[in-house]
Amino acid sequence: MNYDVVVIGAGLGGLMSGITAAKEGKKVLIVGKGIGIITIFTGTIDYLGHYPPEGIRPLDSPREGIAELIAKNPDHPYSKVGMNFIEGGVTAFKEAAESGGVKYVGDLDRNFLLPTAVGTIKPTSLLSSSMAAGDLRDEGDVLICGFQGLRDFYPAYMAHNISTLTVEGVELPHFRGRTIDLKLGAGSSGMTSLTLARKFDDPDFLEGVSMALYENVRDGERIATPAVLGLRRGDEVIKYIEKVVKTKIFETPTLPPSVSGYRLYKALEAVVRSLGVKLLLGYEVTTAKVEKDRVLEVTISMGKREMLVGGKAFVLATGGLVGRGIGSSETNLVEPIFGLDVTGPKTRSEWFNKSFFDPAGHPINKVGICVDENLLPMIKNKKPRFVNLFVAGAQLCGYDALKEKSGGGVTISSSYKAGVMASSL
Amino acid sequence: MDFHTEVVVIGGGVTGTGIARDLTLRGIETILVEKGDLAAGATGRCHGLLHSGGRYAVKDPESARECVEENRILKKIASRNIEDTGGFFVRLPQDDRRYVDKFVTACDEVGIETEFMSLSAARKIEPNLTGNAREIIRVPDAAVDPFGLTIDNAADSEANGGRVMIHTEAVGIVVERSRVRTVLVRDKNTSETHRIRAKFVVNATGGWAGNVAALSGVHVPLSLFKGSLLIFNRRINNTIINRLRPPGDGDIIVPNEPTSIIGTTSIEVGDPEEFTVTREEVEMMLAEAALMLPPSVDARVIRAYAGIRPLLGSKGGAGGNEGGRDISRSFSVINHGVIDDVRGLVSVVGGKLTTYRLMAEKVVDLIAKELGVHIPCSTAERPILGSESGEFYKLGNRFDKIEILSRKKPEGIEEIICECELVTKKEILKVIEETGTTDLNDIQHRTRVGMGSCQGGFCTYRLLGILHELGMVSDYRANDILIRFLEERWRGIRPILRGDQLVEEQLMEGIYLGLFALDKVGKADGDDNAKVDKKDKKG
Repeated sequence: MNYDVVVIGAGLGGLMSGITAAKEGKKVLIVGKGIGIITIFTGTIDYLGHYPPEGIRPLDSPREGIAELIAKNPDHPYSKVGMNFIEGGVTAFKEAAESGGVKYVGDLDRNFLLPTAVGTIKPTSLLSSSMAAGDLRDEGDVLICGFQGLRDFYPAYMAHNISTLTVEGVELPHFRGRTIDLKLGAGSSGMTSLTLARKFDDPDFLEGVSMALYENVRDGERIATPAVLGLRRGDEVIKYIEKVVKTKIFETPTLPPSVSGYRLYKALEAVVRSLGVKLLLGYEVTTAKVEKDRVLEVTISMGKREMLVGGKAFVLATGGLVGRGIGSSETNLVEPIFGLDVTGPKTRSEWFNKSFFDPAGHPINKVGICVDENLLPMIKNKKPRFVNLFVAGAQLCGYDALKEKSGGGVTISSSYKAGVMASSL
Repeated sequence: MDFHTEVVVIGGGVTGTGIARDLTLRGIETILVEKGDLAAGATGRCHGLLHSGGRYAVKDPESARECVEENRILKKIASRNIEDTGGFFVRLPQDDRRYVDKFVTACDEVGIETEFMSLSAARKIEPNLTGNAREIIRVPDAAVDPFGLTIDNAADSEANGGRVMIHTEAVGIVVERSRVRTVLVRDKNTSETHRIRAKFVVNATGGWAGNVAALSGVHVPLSLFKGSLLIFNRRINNTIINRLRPPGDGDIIVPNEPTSIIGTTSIEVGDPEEFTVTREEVEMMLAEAALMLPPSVDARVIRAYAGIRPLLGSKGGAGGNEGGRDISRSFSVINHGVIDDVRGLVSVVGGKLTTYRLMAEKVVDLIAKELGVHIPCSTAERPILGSESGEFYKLGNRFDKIEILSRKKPEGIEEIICECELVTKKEILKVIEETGTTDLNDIQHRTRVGMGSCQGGFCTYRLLGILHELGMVSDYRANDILIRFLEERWRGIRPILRGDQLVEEQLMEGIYLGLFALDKVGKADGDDNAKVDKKDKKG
């Protein structure tokens, strides 16, 4: 079997690369062991929340921050991707998500400042319209509404912590927390977000919750809820509730599993399928056949059988340590498919700092594969190991997504560029 | 506030609570003070092994004899905290054959039952046991829950009129005319100082015994040895596995609820709060575990921790360079009235979890004699509160309980807060109601919440949410509690991160640093004040 572009990895990065290449008219295969961390975390896309990475104050403008970062740090993935592709990625992602049924809002000019479920501030650049009314700088006090039986959201705790925050130059609205008893009866205690979200797809249930919210909200308040407002049709659910409660409502992501992440995944998956991309989920790429500096084929393990797939170009978007695109052995870090160089601290004792919250971040979080400006993996940072393998997403080295709050942005920017580059061969 | 009592017991480990129970059973007024939670020191940082005595039989028959007798007694009086797993001593090809005979003879002499097992019979009981085992000898070891044992002793003492004050630190011992008169204690939650007038003070503070004795100007020479342990994410063995050789490092693996624990090391330290586990200790113990239970190679290590063995003797003295393994594991009761001319002060040092009851008996015998009390010790016969039925703990009890509850209750299943250890919201609320505590560790010790595979990664947030709903977190910034908990958790996790556990930890970082952005809250104003407020608790 032969394709123009073979994408390895079916998370956010793999899907974006596949969509990009398919839109360029290429015959594309996406093969992934799983769907990555997309349904674990928030579904919001951070481009650059803090710069320098150890900074506490959120950045107002990710664009300005990224420009400064590129000027100062040539090894950062954003520097390899370049501003044009970063911009291009934003547009491509928003188009894709919307055509899949989830509207994303925002841009690189301004970070949203969202309250988190523990009442801290998360700066983020692109978010689903279901969260758009949550900016801390917006007018209107906030009723945080939890639902009895959902064990992963605590409105009073969130409100209390927000009341202790200060943001320079901003007068924060007042937050108050309430937990509503939805009288769900049997089997409704200890629900996760996913279980509760499914119920919102039932019109009667939706009507009941909307009325309960209306009774609890005061004039002039916005409503925050956990991110559970419908598993598939989030935008419609919110439109319906807003009509009843006559005010804005927004979702706040909480502990995994993430409903907002799930919706985004489903949207991108729908786009992938509508573009005629072949999507092989649950299959692992084990090895590759290479000839000098070209990748010829990869081996896909299908239980007892193996399938060889050839391609003109390949995109590697298998993730970082969490996604297992980088593996750790007793002594070192490895990229398991192609055996690419993984750059990072030499010994395990250097992987972590003493404090969990060390402002500098743990060195292990910057490990990854170093690439050139075409996103080709480098040998000892000198020359490309392969000329038709592009690396994208959390696997890239030289940035700390957790400290910068840049994970989604780096993944989308690099996977968009990798899709374009792979299509140009 | 001022209190009056006959005896103040300092130290809420198993020894201190055992002493408090024995005192109250003999009708002696008692107040126990503990600076942290019950079982927060060496008690809660041990293997959880109820020794048969086999480990000490060859080198230290006195300790072995104490162990075997106490093993039998505790199985009767503390059954609900004991899982009667039995134990194997296993000789590997590289271990000296001659030790086998010595071992069996020594066990016979002190009265420890031994039984040779064939490899196939042993592997029916313990399928993960290495095929390299040359000799396998069964002994009556058992697993014991040190938290439960300590908490039950304290509760029994309270039920008999004793008083137990946790998070209360002894900060001074007033000695007048060569006799202890008053203990000054500080409530660590309110920072208030109280005076407790008493006739006797018992220093049962383990590794801190030197520091506490010094409050009354008395010197207790202690050598402190750090023993490090590792917890696996699953139960690799159902029987306690000991190496059949002279005691060494990393040669005991104890099943503990759904996990297994390997230990220990023995490294002399200067400070009773030196809990750092090094990477070298981790590597060594993992290598040793794999020799006896090969599947341990695939198990994840979820936490490393260390406890301090206080052994009587001057620093570096009797221990020589053997890591203190040559010092007797027997215990000493020091009557400072006799040797230091401070009457009324008694220190108890050394010993083991297995012999805590005997230690308590000896201490209380001494005090009872001086007080002229005629009631004899009854702790060897009388079951501890909660263990009256004599039934041993069985793995799966917890699961049974939740299943039964769920079938009985028409309104649905119990809300499970901690999936790893199946802890329900109801159990947590019960602990909070009964103890009034808002300390995450207190709740953890009493329910096992957060002690499983994810080490509190998910349930700690829920726990704080619940406490907050109850109005028990009222301080300036509730997130500071979460931040402190995560830092403490990190101490136990950092040395063991590798492979799958590294992946899991990256997920936790994603949650707390990414999703919750807890690293960006800056320094709290008045950090020290930001803690759970006891004043707010109900009742």
